[in-house]
Amino acid sequence: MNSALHAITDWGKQVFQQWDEFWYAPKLPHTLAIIRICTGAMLFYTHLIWAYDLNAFLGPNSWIPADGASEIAGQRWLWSYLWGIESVPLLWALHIAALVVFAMLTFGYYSRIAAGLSCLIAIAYCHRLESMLFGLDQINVLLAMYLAVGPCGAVWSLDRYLAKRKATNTAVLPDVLPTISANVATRLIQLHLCVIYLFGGIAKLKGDLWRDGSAVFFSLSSYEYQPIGVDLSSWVAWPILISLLTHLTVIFEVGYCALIWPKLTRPIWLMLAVGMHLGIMLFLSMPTFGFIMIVANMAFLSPEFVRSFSQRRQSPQHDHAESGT
Amino acid sequence: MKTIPRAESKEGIEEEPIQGFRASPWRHAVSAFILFHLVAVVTSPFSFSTQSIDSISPVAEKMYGGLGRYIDITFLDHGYAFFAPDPGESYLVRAYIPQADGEELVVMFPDKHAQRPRLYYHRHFMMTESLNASWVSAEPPLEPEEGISNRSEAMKEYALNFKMWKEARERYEYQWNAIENHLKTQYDVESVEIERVVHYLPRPIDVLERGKSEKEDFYDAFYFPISEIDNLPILEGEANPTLPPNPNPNPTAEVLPTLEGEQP
Repeated sequence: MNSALHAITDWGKQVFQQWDEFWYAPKLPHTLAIIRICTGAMLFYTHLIWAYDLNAFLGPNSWIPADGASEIAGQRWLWSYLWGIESVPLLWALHIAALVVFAMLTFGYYSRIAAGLSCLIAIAYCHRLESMLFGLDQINVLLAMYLAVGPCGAVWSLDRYLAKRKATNTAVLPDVLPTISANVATRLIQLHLCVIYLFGGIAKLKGDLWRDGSAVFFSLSSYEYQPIGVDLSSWVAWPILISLLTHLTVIFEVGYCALIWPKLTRPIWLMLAVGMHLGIMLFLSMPTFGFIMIVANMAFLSPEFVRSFSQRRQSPQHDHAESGT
Repeated sequence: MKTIPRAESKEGIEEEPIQGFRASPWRHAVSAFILFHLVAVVTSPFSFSTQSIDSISPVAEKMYGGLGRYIDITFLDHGYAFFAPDPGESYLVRAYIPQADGEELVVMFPDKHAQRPRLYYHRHFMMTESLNASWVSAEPPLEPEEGISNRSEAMKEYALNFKMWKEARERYEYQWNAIENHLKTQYDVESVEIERVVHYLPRPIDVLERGKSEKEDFYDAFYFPISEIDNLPILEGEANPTLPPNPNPNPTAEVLPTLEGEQP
């Protein structure tokens, strides 16, 4: 009895140790930094498109008027500072402020504050424009949310550049150290992605066309999604390829939450992710969604690997300054 | 002072002295919040994937009941069912706009030739898809008949269903009217009429039989207006033998309006 109790206690301790190791092992910030740059740029572009026709999207006679967006929300706990605003100058002022915040995130100026604000702003726009959203908006928000958790501006940022300038005058440049918060932020992105792909795969398993291997053809045959001037007959001539891509998509999505973790299978799954989302970018005309999904997948690149790309391009002197050694 | 193993880095430092986050009680609070957040992340797609036409898993319902507010506030209310369960037909809006010369301008939303860049077009596409997904019949639920057993229970259920129907129908009508009003302002006219249109997907056999699928007019045969009465395509005068199955009148929209199927 005692040995059984010990075994259970040991197992419990191991679970807690593994949990701690998984979440609280410090990590370098380079992966978060590259995700920050891409996410900030995508948030900027996404909201630039709202600005393209701001009156139609947010103005007094918009597709969904400001006073009605909250009514459509019904009993749900949605919120947006854009609800009820009908003044066009005020809308423009708020919109320009939002674009400034996204630019700050992209260039890494007051990075974590900018990430937190970006998340709040993006949610406010999503709750105001609920009927016009798609996957891009979901990923934009989740990335901004998790970037605010970690030191996303610790490298490749204006924050770092300004710290370097200050260091030359006053003090030694602080090291770029591994931190717990960088790991927590990265883990949150990783796990959220696993949830997205798992339920995406489960939902597809319910569909006849995903099971019989024809779903990719029907996705491509949607006039509303496909690029202009596509000839479907070339796809019809390759039923085996269509079938293979369909099954591979489902296997990829269902298997992602398990096979993205082992070192042996991670490169394969990352390559499949890039391939699938490039396909979405090219053949379903959703370059923004495809791109942001690839960016989210970068969370599975180790910061040392990401950093190695910049170090190859740096002089030894610069490298010395960057590492602070 | 406690030490923790540090992530392996090129600097070769294996251990880093810290003031002890990993030894502090804050760690437990952070862990608890991470767990709470992850359960919230899972709850929404779990609820979506465990609902049927007229019911939802009690476990999912309980989870959603407890975490719904957090999920709403943090914009986590997503099913992630991209192109699922199957890639389906598209839903559009056709607008009839009277002109000063007596002619009628017919405009389709979305229109990938008129709306560029692509993200701008996609916003309009999602709007018309959303209008369709929120369709609710103009007919209210039927009141339980007199004299049935357990009528008081049935009336309670009816009252709840009626309230849900009314709210959902009002949301649908609001979106419909908002689109019409926006178009009136945009085109500076007194009245505009809109209708929902379904655009079915051509099948491989359609491509083989008709050919020339790269031509825009190849897709014209697959457009059908949708009846507001039963939400089904109006096929009168459209003797099209290639209409694919699965008109998908979105029966779940009335059950859980916040968990509609998603487009990527």
